[in-house]
Amino acid sequence: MISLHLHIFIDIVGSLAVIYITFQAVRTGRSIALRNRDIIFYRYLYYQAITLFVFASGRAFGHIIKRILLLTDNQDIWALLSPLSGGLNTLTFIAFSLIALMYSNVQDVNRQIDELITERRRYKRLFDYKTKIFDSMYFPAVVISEDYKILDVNRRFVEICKDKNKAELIGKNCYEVTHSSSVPCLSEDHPCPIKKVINEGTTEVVMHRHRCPEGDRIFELHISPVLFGEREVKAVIEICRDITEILKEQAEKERLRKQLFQTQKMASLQTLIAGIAHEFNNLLVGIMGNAELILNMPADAGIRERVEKISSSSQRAAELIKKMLYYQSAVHSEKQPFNLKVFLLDFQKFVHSIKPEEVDVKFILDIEDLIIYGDPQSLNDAFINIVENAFQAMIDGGRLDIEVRKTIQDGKPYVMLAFMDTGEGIAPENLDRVFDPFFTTRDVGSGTGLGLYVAKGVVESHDGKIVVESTQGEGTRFTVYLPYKD
Amino acid sequence: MLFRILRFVFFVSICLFPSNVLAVQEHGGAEGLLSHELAHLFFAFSVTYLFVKISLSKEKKKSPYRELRMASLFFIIWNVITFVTHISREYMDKSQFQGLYLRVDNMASILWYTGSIVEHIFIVLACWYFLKALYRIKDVTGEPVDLPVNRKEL
Ligand SMILES: Nc1ncnc2c1ncn2[C@@H]1O[C@H](COP(=O)(O)OP(=O)(O)OP(=O)(O)O)[C@@H](O)[C@H]1O
Ligand SMILES: [Mg+2]
Repeated sequence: MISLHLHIFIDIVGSLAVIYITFQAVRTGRSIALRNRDIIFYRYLYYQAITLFVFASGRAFGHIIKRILLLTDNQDIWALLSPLSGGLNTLTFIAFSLIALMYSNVQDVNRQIDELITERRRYKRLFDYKTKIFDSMYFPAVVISEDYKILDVNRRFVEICKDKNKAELIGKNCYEVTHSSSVPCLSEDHPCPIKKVINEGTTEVVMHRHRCPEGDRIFELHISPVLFGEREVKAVIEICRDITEILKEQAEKERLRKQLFQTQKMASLQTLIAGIAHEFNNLLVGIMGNAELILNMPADAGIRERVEKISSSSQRAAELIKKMLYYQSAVHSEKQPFNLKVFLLDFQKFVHSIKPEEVDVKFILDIEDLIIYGDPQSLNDAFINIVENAFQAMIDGGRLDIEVRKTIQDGKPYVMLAFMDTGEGIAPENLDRVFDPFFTTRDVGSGTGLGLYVAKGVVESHDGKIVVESTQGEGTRFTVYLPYKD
Repeated sequence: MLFRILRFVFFVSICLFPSNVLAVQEHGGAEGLLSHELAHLFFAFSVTYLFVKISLSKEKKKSPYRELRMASLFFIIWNVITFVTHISREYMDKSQFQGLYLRVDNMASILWYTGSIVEHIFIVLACWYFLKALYRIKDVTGEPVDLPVNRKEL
């Protein structure tokens, strides 16, 4: 007599082990078969795994249930179940065998698989190659479908969208990513040419402002059509050229060009003025001298009157010429060190002495003793010109604030003198012409248009600068910056 | 073609005419031991055929054929053992089983006892190699190429 304990134990362990292994085989077989639908061999193996699993389950059922039923004295039930379990077993044998016979021609099976795998590898290599090219492009590029979905992006595009990776970008709407908008770009200044490119098959170039993590950037987009496959799902490829810096550079260049043009114009104008002024002065001396001579001679009253007119007109002309010539002398005057505070206290007194009744003047002198290198006389004339203009702009009264303090401009120390009035202001179109010589809005004869021209010349000859800001109807602010030595 | 027809006829005949000669055994009764034993033979035949085919091909050392070959080898052995075990059961007497004890007094009972234990080792090995073959395939084929635009959209 031998005990069947070991026998039963092995029966149970063995049956369970086979169930586990065949279950794993089914899972693996399924994933292989699904991923390689074109390889029938793998499908056969999958089916075989299933038959093995069914076999294992049926067998375990047979072995384990049998034990339980026999031990619990239920022979009759086992007699009923046994043929079912056994029959299932038999069927799975046959199924497994048949499938084995089907693929047993290993040579053929292998050739088919090798071909498919080689083809797949070749395709993968080609795919990698194309991806690398796409990723190596210097310009960010994005492929967008007809319905504005992002299909693909290259490495550079991912780089400019620093907060998202490639997987996050693909499938998103393009307008969400580049414009943080919830609708496609429809506005006039930001037209979206995708539909046009798809319909007409042309390449379009547009400028778009794109939202990037570190701020808006301007892109020049080159959008070309892409045809995918035979089913012709249409898409576009958008190559984005960041032109933010280029635009900035262009604007800067334009500004410099204008500035240069302006200085050149001024320089030639100055020589012209100086030349004409001298010539006219000589001519005037002749006219005035002769007029004097005639007036000293006995003449009839009618002629006297005419000659007096000639004389007074020539005098006015001489004064104008003096002003014109003054510019030269003011700009080229001798410079020496002087105390700005002392100068300004004198200037303050003078301003108060010439101010009209209806205007309030307030000085804020926020400086201690400060040495400026320059010509106090011409600076005084320049500031008086500015102050006079302010008074003239405030015929009906107002307030002039003159504030002086130290500032830093481009890292260098400057004294800032601000002249703020509450007068009529300057029309925007005149704003950059007020410093031009002979520019005046006053009646003929009452203004020469040389005041600010002189002021600017004087300030610039001191290596300073003068700027104007104005709001029409509210007032004007002239700000003078003069460099000083610490 | 002839082979296929024979295969089919064989399969159908086994299913349609189960023998009930040897009743009261595991593969007896309504099922019939004969059909089961024939199925074992067919199983043994087909895996032998596969074993030979792989052995003759130059792929026999390559995965997954190496593993499949091992699996078929163990399936063959398992078939032989179970075949013998089933038959030896026929020559045993019902009275030899006494609860959880077996009276071992003839050749049949020795064969049955050892056979039904050893059988497990070989079926586990066979299935294990079969699973290994699948794992090897999974390793080689790997993930399908990851298209940025999935095939469906194209
Ligand atoms: N504070 C101001 N408020 C309003 N307009 C001003 C002011 N300062 C200057 N302007 C405008 O700038 C123009 C040019 O001024 P500028 O001092 O050069 O010449 P002018 O005052 O017209 O003539 P002049 O100084 O010879 O009397 C003025 O005609 C005036 O229109
Ligand atoms: Mg003036």
